[in-house]
Amino acid sequence: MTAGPAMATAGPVAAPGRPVRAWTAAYDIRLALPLGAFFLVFFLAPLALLLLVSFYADPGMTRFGLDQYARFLLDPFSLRVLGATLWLGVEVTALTLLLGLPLALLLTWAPGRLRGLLTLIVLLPLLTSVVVRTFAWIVILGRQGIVNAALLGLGLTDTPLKLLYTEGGLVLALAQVQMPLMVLPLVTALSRIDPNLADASAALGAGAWRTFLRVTLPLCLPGIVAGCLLTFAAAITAFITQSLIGGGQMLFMPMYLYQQASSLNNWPFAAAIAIVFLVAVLACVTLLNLVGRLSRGYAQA
Amino acid sequence: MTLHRRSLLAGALTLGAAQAFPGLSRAQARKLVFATFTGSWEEAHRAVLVPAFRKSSGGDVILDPMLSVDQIAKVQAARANPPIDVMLHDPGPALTAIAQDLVEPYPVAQSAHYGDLIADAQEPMGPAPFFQIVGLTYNPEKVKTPPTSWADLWKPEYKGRVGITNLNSTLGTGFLVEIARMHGGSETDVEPGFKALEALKPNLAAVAANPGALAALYQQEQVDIGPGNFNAIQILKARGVPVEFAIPKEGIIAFKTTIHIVKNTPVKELAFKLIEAALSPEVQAKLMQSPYLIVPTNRKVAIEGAIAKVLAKDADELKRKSVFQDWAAINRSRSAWIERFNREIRV
Amino acid sequence: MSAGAGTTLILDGITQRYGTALAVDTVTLDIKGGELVALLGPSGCGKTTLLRAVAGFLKPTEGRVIIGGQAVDHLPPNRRTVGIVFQNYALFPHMSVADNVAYGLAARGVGRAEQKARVAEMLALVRLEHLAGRYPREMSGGQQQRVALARALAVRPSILLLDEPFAALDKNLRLDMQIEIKRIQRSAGTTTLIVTHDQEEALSMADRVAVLNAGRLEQFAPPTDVYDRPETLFVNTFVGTANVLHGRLATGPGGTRVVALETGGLLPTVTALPDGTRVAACLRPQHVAFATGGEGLDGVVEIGLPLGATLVHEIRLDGGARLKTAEARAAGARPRPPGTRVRLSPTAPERVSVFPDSRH
Repeated sequence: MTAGPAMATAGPVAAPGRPVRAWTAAYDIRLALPLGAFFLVFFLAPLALLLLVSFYADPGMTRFGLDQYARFLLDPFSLRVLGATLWLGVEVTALTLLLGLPLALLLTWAPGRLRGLLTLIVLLPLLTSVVVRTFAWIVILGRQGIVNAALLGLGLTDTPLKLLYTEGGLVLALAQVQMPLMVLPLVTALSRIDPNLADASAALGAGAWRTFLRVTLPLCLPGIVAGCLLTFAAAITAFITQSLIGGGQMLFMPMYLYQQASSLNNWPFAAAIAIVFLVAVLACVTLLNLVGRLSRGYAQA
Repeated sequence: MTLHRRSLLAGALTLGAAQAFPGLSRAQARKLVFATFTGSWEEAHRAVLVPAFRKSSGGDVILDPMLSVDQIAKVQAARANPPIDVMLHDPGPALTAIAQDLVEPYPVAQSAHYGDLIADAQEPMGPAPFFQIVGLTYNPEKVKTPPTSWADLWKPEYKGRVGITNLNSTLGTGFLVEIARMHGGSETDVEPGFKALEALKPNLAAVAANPGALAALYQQEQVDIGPGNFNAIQILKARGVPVEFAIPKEGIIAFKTTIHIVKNTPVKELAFKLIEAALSPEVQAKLMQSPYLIVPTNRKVAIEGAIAKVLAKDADELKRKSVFQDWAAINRSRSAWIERFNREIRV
Repeated sequence: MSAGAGTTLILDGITQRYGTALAVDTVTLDIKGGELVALLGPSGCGKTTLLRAVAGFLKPTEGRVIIGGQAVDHLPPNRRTVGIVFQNYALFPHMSVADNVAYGLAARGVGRAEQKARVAEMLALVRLEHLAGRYPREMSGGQQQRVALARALAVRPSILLLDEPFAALDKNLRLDMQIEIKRIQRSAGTTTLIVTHDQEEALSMADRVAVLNAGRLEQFAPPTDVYDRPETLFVNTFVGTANVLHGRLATGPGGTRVVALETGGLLPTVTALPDGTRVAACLRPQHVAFATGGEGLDGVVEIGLPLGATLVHEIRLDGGARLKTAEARAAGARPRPPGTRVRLSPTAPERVSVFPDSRH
């Protein structure tokens, strides 16, 4: 990850009268072979194996059948775990967008030096391990943590609040941990918007809010969709943060899968969980992409 | 046949490459590979066991720390030419490894130390070089009267202060079995244990995902009391975290951590020598010292230091105080318990 | 569209500093209602800064902007009734042409029915009724520009600002659009400020031209005055072409004023500056005549070019200076061959403008 996309300079959205030549696929397709082979060996092949394993009917892997899928899909508990996981993703994505958009706007509008500093702050989490970031949140959210110390100090509460091992705490921590994934695409999209558009809107009589809602927001929709996709996917699969901040009693798909594979050696069911999760995530991603495609008209060449 | 197909697939899942390119690992004449546990275990083994082994055997060893489940998966993936020569397991995974025919019987007859081990440590498929001890952990600043029984966890004064782990860990499962026993249950009947957990809910501050996460919660004073691993507590204590270990009158839960020669290892002789070193009174005596405080299993080791103070003065006392659970029985129903824990224990 | 008298616009002593850099230095312009004024100057002369100050996108360091007799300095852009067409048009790419034009109307709370009527009216004005449903990216540059104009005019601005509006158009389209905009501006009667670096554009379209250089106003006058009676050396050389010769003022035989050129020779002129003043003398090529006798500057033809209706020569004077000449080409006339000795003089002494020489 580099600062590249974030630092992309804002150019005019369209160069009127100057047709932009479309990229022609003139490159030799063989250039993609190494990556293709890499994907085949390290992604497609394991995925195929995973699919195969999920079709064993029993943990001993003696016969094939759809038993594992039936077990998952007909079990309200398993479906609840799936639902809770996807919902967690929605909550985290919403919070990340809510906090990330103002940050991205600030970053886009900030003058040079401040912009560099803000970019560094946004990127910093990417440069530290997710485990370190997660442990930092344990310190922040704990009974002796910063939040509780502040609340107690201000006399807002008598006993420390339980923040760690709650869904709220988890959502907050995940939102911070995944923030760069939201902010970077947003900044890229925002910096591609012609600054004259906001001026044009103002000159036409629009206030700041109208300009934001009618011009800025729709035009950065592709960035929002990209950011949401990344954040959502990262949040629902964030095994480490989920288990350290959410705790052992809050069961999400990654932990459910891990439990079946690691503690119980039930590979077929673990594989079926993985496939169901994959399909569910793909469905969500497709849905979001559809929104993205609707907004594609806004994106400029 | 069944076993073979299962292991083949499971192995391929985790280590497809080893299947595809068997020559990769066969190419060189290997050093001995010992899969120890991560963290403080690795540190202890690197500092004490490895030098002792080098001295006694003249051979060399590579430490490749990983979880039990990963050890099993890796060996399954390449049975004929295993990438690991010596495995270390908690009781649950040890039984899985034995059932899947991944380990050699220990050459007891040739062993100089096997006979000196406490009876419970003498396992023919792989002896126990140390025990892991689970008792009560508490924060002495918050819990003024040291707890004396598992039953203390249910006291109303600890409302919202108790921390446990889920059943993914040996610690969590062992705790469930122990409280089941306390209420008249057993390894085959944990119903009373689940009832007790249900009753514990108001007191539960956290259900951690693993023992490491639980330890961190003491550090954050998120929890003040609960079941805890003796070694993990000693490490926390050494870092200045206010925690103490107490022995419940029902007895400490002792897990045999067993060490095994992997079947088909090309360096069987070295593997045997490493295990011999691990069983030797010299190594165990050193590992018993601070900061490792690893509970020895060799009767020739005179127990002293913190272990003598907190746990037991000698092997007999240790045996008297310890409860060894039947992990063969536990393994049979653990999956159902985890399922049930998932559904019922939500805080 | 009501023509009316249009709204006056006064820039009163506008100064803009960026740090220590002076972008605009005390510029004052008094623009009449309905007038079309061009701000002309090279890039970096401060013309765009002035435009942005009028629109309210920046607050000048000093000075006031007065629209229709009201100082608007405290008003944000959306509260000033100023329409603007950007160099790149800045059309909203996610809105159709009709929505672009309706944008300002909606922002000002105009009812839907009236919006619709006004959009139709505006699109008719710019002759784009048939493209109301198109998106900007589906249109040519000229069409986009007309949409931008319709959008700016739809809210009936009191002042219309055009920022280099023709820069992105090719040459043929440019002339069409200049005429078109002039037509629309006339019919709407809107006071208009055009920023341009293209002198032809400024001279052909504007009622008055404000020539700016390095943040200073050099001259503010009708195009013919700017061309014929430049007030500064900069204006004389920037607007149109001029031969610049350096010398010192003197009084010649018979009391006439002359410039004694540094390279030798005398150039008659008319000026109030005293004798001895070091000056730069400007003489446009078309005001250089080939003399047959009498006083003049001698030289040889370096090159001659027949440029259609005009005949252009470059002459190397005996003193070393070079001079361009331009004369109407009679049918069949050919340029003088190189090497021909010629004598040159201004068509009239008034055609030689002299300005105090700033070189020394």
